[in-house]
Amino acid sequence: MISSRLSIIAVVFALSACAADYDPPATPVALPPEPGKPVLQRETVTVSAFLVGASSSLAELNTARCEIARGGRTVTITTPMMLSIPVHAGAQAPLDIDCSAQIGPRLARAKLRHLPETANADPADTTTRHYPKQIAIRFRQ
Amino acid sequence: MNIRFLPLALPLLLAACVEYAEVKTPPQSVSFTESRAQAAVRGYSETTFRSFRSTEKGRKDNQELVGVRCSLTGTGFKAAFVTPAIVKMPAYQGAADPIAVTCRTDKDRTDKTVKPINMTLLRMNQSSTTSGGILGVALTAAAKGIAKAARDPLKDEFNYPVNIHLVLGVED
Repeated sequence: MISSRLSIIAVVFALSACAADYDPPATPVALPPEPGKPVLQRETVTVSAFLVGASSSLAELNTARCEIARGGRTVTITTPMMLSIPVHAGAQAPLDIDCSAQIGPRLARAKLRHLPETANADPADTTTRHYPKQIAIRFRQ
Repeated sequence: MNIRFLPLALPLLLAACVEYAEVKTPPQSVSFTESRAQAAVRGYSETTFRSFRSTEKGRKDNQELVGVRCSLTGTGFKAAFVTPAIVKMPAYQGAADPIAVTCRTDKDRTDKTVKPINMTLLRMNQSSTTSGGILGVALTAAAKGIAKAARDPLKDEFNYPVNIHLVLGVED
């Protein structure tokens, strides 16, 4: 009984520790469309970076520099940032995210390739999302 | 004294009997090879480096060697010294990387990788002892776990060990 209550308290604390510390700027950074392809819709994705420490501790980084590439187009941002991604008809390219952040004495790097959740975009359907609303980049301590 | 403490007390008593060579040189500084590593320093802590000779493979004896040339390399800094030596090691917040230490004599060489210590976690683990029985121990462990998970890892302080012993003639 007591241990289950302690578990609940621990989970509540752990979840509160995961809450974002920083708000991204209100205006998203636009990823340029692929040349010659019409844009069906735009999806906004918030890219955040975290430092994962020992014992499951977590801290959001507001200084991580990330290069985000998709379909041959690249933008550079500082986390957290909202990204406006153009969706073209047909197959969606993955998002390649390459981040670096000064942590202690080193310039730490973290890379992530995020595949589209829905591989193909149907021109008749502009409501289905192809990328998640949030992408978290994790740096290890 | 309770007999169960004997295995703990004996090594401590024996360690207290070991006489180390006097460090005759003043504490020396590391030299930085990367400006970002220098800019991130949050202080310095002294580490004493000592070298020892092992006469038999797999066995370390307590024969200290004086005058062994060593070098250390960390992320963005390095140092060269002759044992025994005190080196002012950089302390960092958020993260720190292991250092590689190499010592050489005419006959032997040893390489050792030394990890930094997360002093914040160490202090959290050492604090909050309890005597409230099993329930007290469980509550303290749970509270420690919550505190450790809720802390900001960017504020974790990292130091290198106070003493680093390098043993030549055997794989350490």
